[in-house]
Amino acid sequence: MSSIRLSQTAERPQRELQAYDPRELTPLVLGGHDFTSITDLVTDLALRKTPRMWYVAMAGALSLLSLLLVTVAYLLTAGVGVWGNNNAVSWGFPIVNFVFWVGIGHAGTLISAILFLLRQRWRTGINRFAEAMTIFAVCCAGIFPGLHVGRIWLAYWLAPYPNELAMWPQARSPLLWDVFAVGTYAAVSLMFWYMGMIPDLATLRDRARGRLAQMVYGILSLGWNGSSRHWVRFERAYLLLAALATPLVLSVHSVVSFDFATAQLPGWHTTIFPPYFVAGAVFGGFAMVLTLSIPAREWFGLRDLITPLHIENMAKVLLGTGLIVAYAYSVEFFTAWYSQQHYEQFVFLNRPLGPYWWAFWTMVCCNVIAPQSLWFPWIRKRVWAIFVVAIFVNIGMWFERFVIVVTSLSQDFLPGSWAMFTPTWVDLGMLAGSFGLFFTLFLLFCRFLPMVAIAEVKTVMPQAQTTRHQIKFDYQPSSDTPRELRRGSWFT
Amino acid sequence: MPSLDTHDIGVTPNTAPADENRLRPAVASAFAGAPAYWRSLEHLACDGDVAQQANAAFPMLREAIARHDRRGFLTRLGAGLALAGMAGCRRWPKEEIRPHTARPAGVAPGVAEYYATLFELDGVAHGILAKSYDGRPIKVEGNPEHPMSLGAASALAQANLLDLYDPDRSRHVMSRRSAADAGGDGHRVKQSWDAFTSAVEGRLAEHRERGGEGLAVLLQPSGSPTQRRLVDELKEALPQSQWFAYQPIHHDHAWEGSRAAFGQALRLHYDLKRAKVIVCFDADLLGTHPAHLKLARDWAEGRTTADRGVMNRLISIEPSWSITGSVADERLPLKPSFVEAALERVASRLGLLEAAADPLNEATATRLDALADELIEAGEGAVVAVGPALSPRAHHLAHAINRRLGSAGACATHTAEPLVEDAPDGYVRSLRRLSELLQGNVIRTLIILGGNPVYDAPADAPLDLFSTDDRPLLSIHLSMYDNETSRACAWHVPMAHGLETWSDGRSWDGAYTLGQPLILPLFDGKSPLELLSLIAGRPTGDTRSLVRETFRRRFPAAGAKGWELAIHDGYQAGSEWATISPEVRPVPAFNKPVRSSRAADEEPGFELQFTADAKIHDGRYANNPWLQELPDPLTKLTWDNAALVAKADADRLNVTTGEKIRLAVEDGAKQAIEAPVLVMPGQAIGCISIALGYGRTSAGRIGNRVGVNAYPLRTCERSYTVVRCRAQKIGGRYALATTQMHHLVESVAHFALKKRLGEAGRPGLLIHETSLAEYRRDPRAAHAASHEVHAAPLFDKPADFDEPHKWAMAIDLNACIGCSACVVACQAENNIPVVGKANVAVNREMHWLRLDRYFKGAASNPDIVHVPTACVHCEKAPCEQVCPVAATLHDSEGLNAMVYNRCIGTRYCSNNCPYKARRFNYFDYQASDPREPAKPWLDIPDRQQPEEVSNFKKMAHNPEVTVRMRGVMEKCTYCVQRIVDARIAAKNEFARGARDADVVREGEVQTACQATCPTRAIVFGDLNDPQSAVSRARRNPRSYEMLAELNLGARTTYLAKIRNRET
Repeated sequence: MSSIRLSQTAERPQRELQAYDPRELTPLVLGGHDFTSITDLVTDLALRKTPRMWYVAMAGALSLLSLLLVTVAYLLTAGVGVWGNNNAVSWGFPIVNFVFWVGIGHAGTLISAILFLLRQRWRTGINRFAEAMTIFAVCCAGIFPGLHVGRIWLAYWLAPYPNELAMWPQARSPLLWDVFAVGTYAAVSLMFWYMGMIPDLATLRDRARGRLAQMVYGILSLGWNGSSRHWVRFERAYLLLAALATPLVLSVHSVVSFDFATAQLPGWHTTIFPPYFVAGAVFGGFAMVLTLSIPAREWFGLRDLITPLHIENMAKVLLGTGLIVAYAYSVEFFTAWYSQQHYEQFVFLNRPLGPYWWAFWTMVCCNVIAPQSLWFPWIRKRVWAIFVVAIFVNIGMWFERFVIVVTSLSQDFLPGSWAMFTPTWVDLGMLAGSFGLFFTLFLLFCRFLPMVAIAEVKTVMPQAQTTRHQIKFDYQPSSDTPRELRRGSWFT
Repeated sequence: MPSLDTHDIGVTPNTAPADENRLRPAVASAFAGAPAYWRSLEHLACDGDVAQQANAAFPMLREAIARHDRRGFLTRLGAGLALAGMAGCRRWPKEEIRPHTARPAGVAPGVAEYYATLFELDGVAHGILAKSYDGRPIKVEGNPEHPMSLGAASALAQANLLDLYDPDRSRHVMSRRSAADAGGDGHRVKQSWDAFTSAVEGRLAEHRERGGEGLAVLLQPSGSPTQRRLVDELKEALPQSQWFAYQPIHHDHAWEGSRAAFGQALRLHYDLKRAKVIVCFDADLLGTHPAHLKLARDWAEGRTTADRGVMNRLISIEPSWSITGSVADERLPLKPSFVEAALERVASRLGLLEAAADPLNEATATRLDALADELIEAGEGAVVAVGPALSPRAHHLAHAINRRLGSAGACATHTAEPLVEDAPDGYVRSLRRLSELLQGNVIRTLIILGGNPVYDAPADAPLDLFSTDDRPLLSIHLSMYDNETSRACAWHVPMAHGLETWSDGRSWDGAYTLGQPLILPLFDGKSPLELLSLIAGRPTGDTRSLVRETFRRRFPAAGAKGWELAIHDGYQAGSEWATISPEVRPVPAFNKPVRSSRAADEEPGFELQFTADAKIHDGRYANNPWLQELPDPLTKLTWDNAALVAKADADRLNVTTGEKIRLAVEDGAKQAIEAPVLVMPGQAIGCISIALGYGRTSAGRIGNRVGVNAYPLRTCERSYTVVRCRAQKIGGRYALATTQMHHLVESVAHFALKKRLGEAGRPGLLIHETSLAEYRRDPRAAHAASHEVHAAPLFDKPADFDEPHKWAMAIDLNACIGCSACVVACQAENNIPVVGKANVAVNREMHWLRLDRYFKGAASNPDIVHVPTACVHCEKAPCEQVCPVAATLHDSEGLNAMVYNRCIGTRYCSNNCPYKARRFNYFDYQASDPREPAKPWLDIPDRQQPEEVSNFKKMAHNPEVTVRMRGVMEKCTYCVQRIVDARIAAKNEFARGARDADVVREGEVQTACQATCPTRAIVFGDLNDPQSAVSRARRNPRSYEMLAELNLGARTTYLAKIRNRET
């Protein structure tokens, strides 16, 4: 075990100088932690000291949230005309924001489900985080389709329910598919997140001092006592949910892309959209995980659990998905040229050269050019640099949706109907406000729930490997073995 | 404000007014002190011993009351509360209804009735048909029997209906408190008609005694024979009285030119049906000419013959786009002085004048010479028309040219000009004389019947109406609005709307046209005839017998039956004027010095042209929201006017659309105005055009401070054109709300436009157009660019949607002139809201039918194509499959139906509509003021409309069409309500055995746009009937489907445009 440098800190100066040694595993937890200190590190955030930065961040998030509430109240009383939408561009910011946020929501489930199934052990440091982000992003996404309809008080007609009119939703409409796709995704993600959190909630319950905290965490932990039976069922359920959530990662954004792809509008009507949207979503989602985790690890003292390795791995995913997205962009242009379809050709000429050229080039700069810097280890080794790239990608992914929605609609078939779209302060306010909602929820999560999957992280610590090894070869537990010794690793 | 229940205001002549007390006895007795609810007559009579008597009469009642113990009480109380709570879940809008307790004989509620009546504009009557529902006129259409309207109605005539229900209309007689308050705007008081008559009676009696000395009357020109008769009688009785007439859009130059040519003012009529070559010198025959409806119909008949290989040829030489110029086969944009020079050149080529040096450049001169040769070749089939803005000499020349060509007497005939009687030397001179007289102390009483001279008089002939101690002037203004002139006068009397009073008039060809009221005056307005009666000291109030008397005198043989028939038909058949064919005097040689072309091009100044606005005319319709929001046929500008500037001039002035310039006139009035620029492709270089009628200050909520007032630049001598005008950029921008952009500027868009609209020698994808020569060679030449459509369905054959009818529409681009009458017709028929400038500026206009105007070719002199676009009712409608709540569906007859109740407003349908024909209620436009920002509500949504929509607006609504609320998508329905009406009538007839099948026959359904189209460019009908007009249109080789390559099966198809020229 001497080859693992337990004393290593966040930076890894010596490692750069050494030749690559395949026997040497890069540690996923730094700082010489043992199981107890890991538990302390995570639970202290929820139970004891609140970092000052939390209050600062929360103040900012709440003021943005109140902006959202104000704009929504104005929207509800005055009508959807408070946005910049018009006869030609019937969908504007609300749908752009919706697709943006749904996309953000992809990384969480991808990390928690697909990486879990692929045995990517490095996911343990960030999965809770990413899953929480998914839930909150879907919350933000969910408000937009509801608010965006003209008669909000009748939005429930989108739901299939028996009624006196004997009217069902119209199943050919992609908007209806959206309702189901996003609804299913939200439900499964929530379940996955919550279920994965149960052992950690029990830890919080056990360590909580206040009566109220004990009761709340007690209720939330559903009577978890860490018994072997609980663990077996938990792990099986977790695996099953991961299997269930995996196709959803692909389905949700594919279905969201159908909102556009099944329409016959040039610029929307294209078969490349489902994979392109999924890749874009993972791209944008990872950018958001980076955007959140880089400050969080600094402010909440999680540098040992979210290590430069995690950040670097995520940067690599960002680069990979970014390349897919860049490929999708170029293929769209190729298809437009190759199809010899005049309307299609005009749209793709109009995007870079037409009145919304600035949106298109912002998108290209942020989504195609900026991630290319991640080819360089120098950049990948620098957390702040990755943070900057992630911010670029966040902006670029929002503009990607703007380009798709607005440029296609504003100049379509008949030049007589062409119209420009200009956002209003309500458009901008609701976009900013949705970030307020997102950050408020996220900060509440940071403050009151286990930000890192305590139990899971311990499985990737060297101590766990050692113990497991011993169990495997030296030790056959009997039914009356104390639970601590049975797996010996996950519980302190 | 009086009660706004419809039956209070809109009492139809044959409806007994409802007795309020009779209808609400309980309420009536409640006021008398008795209980509102009562068990018996004794209780009602407040007999104290009721309980005792009740007990005696119903012993079990007492038991029942006694059985209530505490438990039972609480049980019932709880149940009661729960029930009350349930009832409270849903508060319905509170409104009172008052049914006809006894239905008046001959009135079927909910069945529309049509009345023939008239709409008078600038002294010319147009025969219209007003549709009335339960005593409310709701729609104006053309009178199909009237020879000058033939079923068509202009945008103005239709929108005039909305003025009837305008909440801003004047509702009271107003007076200034005393002479000392003169000029003070805030010192006016409401008065009654009786107070007015008693106040002015003394003064009028005095005038009558003195033979009218000191009495002056300013008339708004009218062709009304009754008004003529009353005026003549008054002139005879009061020989000293002075009579004037004025309207800003005048034909003074035409009259003067006609006097020079014939020795008398004559009216010129064109027969465009027979004309082969029509040359217009700044003459908008199809747009603003008083007979434009008939002219457009005749012109279009000469176009549809394209299918037989012959077609008339229209050439327009004009400074700024007119409707006529926009459909001309050839158009030459020249500044006004050059238009006159062009006419001179043509005249000299025809040998009427000695050829003189003219300022035209060589290319233009060559074209004009070719044009003259063409005229000579066409001979009597050629006609030259000159617009009212051109000089009297130009009119004289035109008469001479027509005589020389032989078309005078054939395509151009003459009749007497009756309007000249009001102002023998022209309206402008008439007003100037009045202005001069007012300066002196000659006039003691001035009565202004209609008009708005304080606003629209020339700058050098202002009306000084203020009364001072040493000049006690009694001024009275009769007007529908308390406008600028009313505010300057001592008295203002509200005028009755045309649909509120009896009237008569003469249409352009002289047909005696009758106007009957459809509703009692809503605000106690008076007709000009009543005021004339008042001057004569006769009783007022009975306009019917005045009109009847005129009719009796004019047509003594007609009798009572003839009167009834004339009222029914709306006009008296055979009352047109006889034509006269006088000799033309020779045209004197031109004596003005001619500037050389070089000097003209380098001149720093501009020529300024004033035009009558296509929408609000001279400003009188400024408060009409339908017209304010109607996109201008050419500029597509709404809610404003602008200085139209050619691209080259804009570059010279260094301005772009929306930037402001100052226009200063160098001669006459030393005035300047500031106006925003609209760069207009095809505007003549060196000429700035600006529409009159804007910048009103006392028009009303809709019209105040809209646009720029150009009247201050107008003088008596320069009514239509100012030869020397300085334009200067002053910085600052002004937001103009246009419904269409000028895409010629953008290079990328231009790439798309060239392919979609076509280029020289290559037809476009969307707009199929070809030349007559090409068309003769290959009737399908216009479709050369379109894709071959493979309509093989993937799955089963889709439904045909043809039971029992297969509705379809065909629009002939060769006939459409872009006059926009259809847009207003659609708006009126379908309760389409007005959204206001701010919403038009962000492209949220609600018109279901829009007229796409495309420029084609060079920016200096492009062609224009008008394409009426609305929902085309695709058989495989892309909107339907994307609606998540199935709010838009197909019916069995092929209508793409919109279920407003079901729509939740996802707007996906609009995104997926390739024609972008759908319109969304972004705000509650019906309930909001178009000049104000949208009003937020804090109430349950369905309560908003009943409470917020103005009661007057409601009266103008068509009851057969749902009024849509906010958040709902809407679009063209092919006037489904009219189809249903026809179907019900057909079924009823079938049930009676009056027809052999319960189906609608050809011609029984006309959509609103179709019915009003002056050129019959729109046909609608059943494709199941192979002989129907629409089936025939589909078989026409010019027929094509726009965006056919999308394979949608559009039910609206177009007929390609043919231009009568070489390429």
